[in-house]
Amino acid sequence: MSTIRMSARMRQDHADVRALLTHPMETGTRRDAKGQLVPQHFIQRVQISHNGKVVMDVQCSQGLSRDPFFGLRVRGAKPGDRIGLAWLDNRGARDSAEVAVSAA
Amino acid sequence: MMSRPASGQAPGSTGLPDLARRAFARATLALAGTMALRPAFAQPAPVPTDWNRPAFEAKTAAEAIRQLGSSAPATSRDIQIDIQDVVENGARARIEVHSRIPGTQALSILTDNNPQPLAATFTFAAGIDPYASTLLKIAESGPVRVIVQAGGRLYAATREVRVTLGGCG
Repeated sequence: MSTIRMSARMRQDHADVRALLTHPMETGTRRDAKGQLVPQHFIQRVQISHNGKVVMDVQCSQGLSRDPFFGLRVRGAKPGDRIGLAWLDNRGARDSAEVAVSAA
Repeated sequence: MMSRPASGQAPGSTGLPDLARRAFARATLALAGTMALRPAFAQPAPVPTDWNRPAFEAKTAAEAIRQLGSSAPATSRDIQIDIQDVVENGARARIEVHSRIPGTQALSILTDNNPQPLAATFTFAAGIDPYASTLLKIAESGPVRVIVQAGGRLYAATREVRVTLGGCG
């Protein structure tokens, strides 16, 4: 199952892009039920693209919430354009997804 | 890929004359090249692995900002930070950041009182609104800072946020 839920809707002159990722974003300071430290596990890189061209590049840390959210505005986008998102975490896991921009 | 590297084969193991073997290797490489190109249309290119470790692992906001490139960014009124003054759930604090500084290339969000304050750096392609929205963990009440990089300089804005229930665990 994809770890990415994303929508892109036209708002005036831009596409309003919202993406919700499924990821534990472990800080490395939390202890599990047995009292053991849960190792750090978090998304480090996210790229969002418009018709294949990167428009926003993110470097991030465990300081973002569990199941992190990203919102941005892509000026000049049109209905039907492709918005892509790809992420990479500190263990090398990755995922990507793509949606079409919908009319307002 | 599918074919084993030529160096991994015993000499003459294919039974082909040397020239034919080389031609086959060239054809295989060419095919591999076209196959490598194809996924670019189906999905985004792989995310680069570069990551500003010194900034993200800094233990104080001041050190993280120094690692972003300046020890004394200029305070700017053209950076808008939208976050609640009182955040009930520090595990999921919504923040929206918008820079009106011309030529904004990147903006970073730091939470002073987290063990490692730098949460994220957003870098924008030319022509893209320097706006980002995300959800922060905020361990305890204190300043949330945004550092904007524009035209090779750094600018800063700060908001004090009170947290009812801390969000690092």
